[in-house]
Amino acid sequence: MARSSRPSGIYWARFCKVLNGVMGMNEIMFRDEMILKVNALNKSYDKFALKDVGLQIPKGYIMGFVGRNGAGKSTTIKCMMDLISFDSGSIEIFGLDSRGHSDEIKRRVGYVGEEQYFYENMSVNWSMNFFGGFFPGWDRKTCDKLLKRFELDPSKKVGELSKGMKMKLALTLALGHRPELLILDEPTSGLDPVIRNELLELFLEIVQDENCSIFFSSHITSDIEKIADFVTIIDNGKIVISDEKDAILESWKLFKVENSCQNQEILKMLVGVKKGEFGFSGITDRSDGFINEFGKSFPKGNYKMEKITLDELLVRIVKESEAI
Amino acid sequence: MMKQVFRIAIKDFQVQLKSILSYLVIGFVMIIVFSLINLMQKQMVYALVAFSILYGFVNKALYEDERNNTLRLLAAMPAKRDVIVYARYLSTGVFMFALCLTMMLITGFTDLIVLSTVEPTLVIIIASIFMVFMILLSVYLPLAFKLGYIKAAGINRFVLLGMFALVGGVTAVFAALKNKESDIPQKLRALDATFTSMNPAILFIILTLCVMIAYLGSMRISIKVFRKRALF
Repeated sequence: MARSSRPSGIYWARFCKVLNGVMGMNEIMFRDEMILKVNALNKSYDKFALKDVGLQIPKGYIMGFVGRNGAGKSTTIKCMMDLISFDSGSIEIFGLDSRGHSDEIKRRVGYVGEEQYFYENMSVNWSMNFFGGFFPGWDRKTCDKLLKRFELDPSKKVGELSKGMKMKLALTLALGHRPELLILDEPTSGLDPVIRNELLELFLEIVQDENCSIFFSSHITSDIEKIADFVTIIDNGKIVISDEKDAILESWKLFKVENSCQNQEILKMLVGVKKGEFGFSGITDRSDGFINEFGKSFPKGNYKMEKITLDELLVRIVKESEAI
Repeated sequence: MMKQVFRIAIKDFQVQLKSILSYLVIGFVMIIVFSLINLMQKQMVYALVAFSILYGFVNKALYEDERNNTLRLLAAMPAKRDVIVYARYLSTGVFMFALCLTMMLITGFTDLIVLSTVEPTLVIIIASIFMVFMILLSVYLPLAFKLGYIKAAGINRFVLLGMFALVGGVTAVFAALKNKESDIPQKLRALDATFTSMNPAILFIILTLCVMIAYLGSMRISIKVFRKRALF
């Protein structure tokens, strides 16, 4: 399911990133390419807080927002959509401040929340007409095509639809006005693998054909791994990692080491360490440093370096934050 | 913005189309039966029927949004929260006006059939009944926008009881004061005299204006509380 052609935007984004870093340039050049930018976002509840959340998506890409349940994914998304207020920080979508231009942003964004709410006694067709009327660029033909593709009967009552079908209806509504950015909160959670796969394929098509970016949250890392260009991992209200997926998977490695080769220096370099009867394992994004240190400490010792999956990365990072 | 207000207001009717038809049928039957057998005072019949239909409509509209959690979906649409409030007041106002007119027409026809004449005071009585309901709704709707339907409906029962007790109490006090002519404070007596001497039509217009102001004031309060309500 890998994307065959990638827009040149990603290279532009990388180029600007390098320029910003090396030459100390301001971010205007870079920002123009960013469809969504979250800066130092803070939001406090009694028992939970978002702490300095920051991320950005270049135009035309998919960003997966990963984290376990209760990590702060939905809260961040609700702040983006101006559904809840936030304490400090800023959110820019299409270069517009999310608080001052809420209506304009909502007109250009397709949003699907974690739960699908509709008037259960009304038909699919009525729902399309009612909610579609809020968007000036509503395209009934696109909706009809999607309904057909999803095998949704327009005359059926929404209350008679399954969870998966309701998600498809929500997506149809979100796509009906040809949004420039899709913000999806756990769109694949609770769906069977067939429907999940169908949706993931649709997301890829949208990005390739419709000049649309996608920001979608999930705790199903395999979905993110399949389609995302960028990945942001959030845990306990803090962004742990936010970068290109390939760069993350390239830089983070899993090390498996025998127990006899264990010392504090080695352990300090690893994240999410798991100890077993014969050995221990942990991950690091400084594999060269680890290999050097290991060579110095245990010249005759053995270790195994493996590629890491997003799932493993999330589990290890969460384990590390729990230990702290 | 007006388009969105109308869209949501019309939705209030669409989502309970079947219920509205049943309200109207029940109301129609009640009026016909009570008018023909003349068991109760007409005013009481109208009040009873109008009260049940109107509250049925408002509660059902609130209930549909609460049950389906659709206020969240509406809040995620490119429309300000104020629009949702305007729409609810518009749909309630329109329904109330239509119901008032329907009742006037029905009573007019039944009077024509039974008494062969139409009592003009009945129009004012029915309109007054609706004005009382408008004041009751002016209290109920801000509660619903602040607390949601379930909590608001619970509190509103006590508000209704309190209002009936207040009206009953004030009436009893006035009746008692009337018996002791000399004990009536000068200001109250002057007020009573002003109302008695006033043209009923002007009095009716003043009352209508007061009720409209209360309804619009209630809408302003609803907007304020709904903007602050945590829906998510």
